[in-house]
Amino acid sequence: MNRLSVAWKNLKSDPLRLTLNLLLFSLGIGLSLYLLLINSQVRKAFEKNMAGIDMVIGAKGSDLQMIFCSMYHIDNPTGNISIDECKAFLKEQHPLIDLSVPLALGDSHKGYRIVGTDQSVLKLYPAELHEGKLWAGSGTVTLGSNVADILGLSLGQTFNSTHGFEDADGLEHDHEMVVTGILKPSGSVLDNLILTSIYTVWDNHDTGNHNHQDHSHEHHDHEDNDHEHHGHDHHDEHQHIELDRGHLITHTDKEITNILIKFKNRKNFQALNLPNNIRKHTNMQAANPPYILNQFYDRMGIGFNLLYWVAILICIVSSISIFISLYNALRARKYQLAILRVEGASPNYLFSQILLEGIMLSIIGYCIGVILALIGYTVTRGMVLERFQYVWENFPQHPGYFMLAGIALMIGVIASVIPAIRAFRIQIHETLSS
Amino acid sequence: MANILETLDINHSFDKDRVMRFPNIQLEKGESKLILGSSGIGKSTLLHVLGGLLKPTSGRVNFMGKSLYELSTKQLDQLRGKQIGIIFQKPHFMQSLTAIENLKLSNTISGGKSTTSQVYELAEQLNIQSRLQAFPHELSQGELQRLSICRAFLKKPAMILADEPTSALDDGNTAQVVNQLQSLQQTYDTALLIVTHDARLKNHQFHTIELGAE
Repeated sequence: MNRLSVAWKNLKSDPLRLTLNLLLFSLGIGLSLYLLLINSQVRKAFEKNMAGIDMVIGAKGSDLQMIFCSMYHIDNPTGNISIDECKAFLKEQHPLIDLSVPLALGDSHKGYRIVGTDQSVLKLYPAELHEGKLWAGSGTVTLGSNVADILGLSLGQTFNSTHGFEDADGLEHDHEMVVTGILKPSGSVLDNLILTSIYTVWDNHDTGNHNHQDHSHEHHDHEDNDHEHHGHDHHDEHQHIELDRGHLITHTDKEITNILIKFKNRKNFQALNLPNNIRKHTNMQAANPPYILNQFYDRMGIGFNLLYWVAILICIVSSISIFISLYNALRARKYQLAILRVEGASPNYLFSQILLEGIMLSIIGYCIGVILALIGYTVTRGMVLERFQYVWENFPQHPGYFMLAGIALMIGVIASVIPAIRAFRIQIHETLSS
Repeated sequence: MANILETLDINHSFDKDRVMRFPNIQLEKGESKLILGSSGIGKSTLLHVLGGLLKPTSGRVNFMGKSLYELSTKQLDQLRGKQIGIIFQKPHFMQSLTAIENLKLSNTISGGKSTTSQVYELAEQLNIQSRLQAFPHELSQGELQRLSICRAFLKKPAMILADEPTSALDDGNTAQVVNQLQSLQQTYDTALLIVTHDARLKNHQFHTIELGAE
């Protein structure tokens, strides 16, 4: 009979108490680990897609909603802004702005968002083409790697976009879109997006009767960037062609959803004041993503902290429960332990045997807790994928596994040390004579 | 023949008012003795003293040439584990383990080297081999006592001490248990000392020492 076997048989001799102890213990550990994993994945996703963006401009509304929508693509737009009003921030010559990325949102395909933008977006994220080529004008799209994988789309395939972000019947646009390229996985939000020209979005929402199949692929010469005089009826002119920024801002009658901005120097006083000035002096709003996200973390932190405390409380209760179990079991088993002493067991043997039971309970509880946490994580991961198209790691590595293993071990030892000391101190004669 | 056990002027008191004085006892290898005494006279106390479980207030207990209470706790535990088998009035076993597991655990703790087949052989001699897979709470009092005897003899000790081994048994079981004890004692050439108030054991040809007769 080895000691592990004896410890296990002792534990399972009271199945109800064992179940209660394991349930409490594994819930405490499982909830803690689940929160750690979720928190780390949320932060990772947010931080990875921060992309050095210093300011987001959009229609007036919630700052957080605007950032969630434009940077993480998990919320609805606050509205649209006119090119006329925001064109200053789209100009490449802006003295404060290093990079500006216009976004036109509002359409999707099977739950994956279609983002009308220009190729400046690829400077924000570590994007590389896997196959094909980048979108080159209205109606052409480049797919993020997850979109291509999950929807099974390949080069040359066509689809119709849906109005809005939900996959709903009857809201498809008439214009077909053709896949011209697929990006390599980047671990960024691009993996989950369908990138296209802003003109695609405008064309899809244009009420005019354009037949895009008939549009030529000729390249326009925009060197002079002087398009104001065209009267802005451009849909017939630049259907499938990626036009430069100078041309884009001539569409003063059109709207986009957001502009993502990187400053030349984010510590520049004027750059720091720019969001405030935009809010005060225009119909647009501007937000600083790091600031807003810190506020969000703080708010989210309250909820997470509350749950952490619940988890800690469960761990404490389970520790007390294990202590009571071992203590009561010791009282019931004191004659049996005294007999073991008679048979030659040393006080150390009894001490370590009781300690082993506490540790074994904590190890089993920890293992069940980890399994519960991973089940919870996998379910949440599936929900996040379905709802937001974010791909979380399958079984993420986290220092929390080791930290919680240490805590579990500590709880096992603390809960069993007093009963173990009492076992150590058993007086054979007194016990057997009582 | 050299004495396995030898006591000299053992006295013990739990309080100032009452001192228990015990006769000197010598026990040779393979010899069996019965210590008979009425309830409360200190029979169990004497057995605990002889088994190295309770240090007497005064006096000396020599076992296999060693003064028991001059040994360290560790040495005493080891000596008791290997050389002294004790059968208690009320047998106690680990309730979470089966009978066979209890025997194996005891064998492991005492450093005994009995194999599983030897365990079954001994259990067969005590007629409990068919009950070895049962848990202690599933065994009758007689079966528990026989299991207790099995545990005591398993490590092939130099001496067996039995404290009221038949007090809870009827006549039939008493005769059976005593016969088995004597038989095993002869088989293993073990010294046997039974402490009891049960006068029925006088009929079993033991050398008897009566406590309180001095």
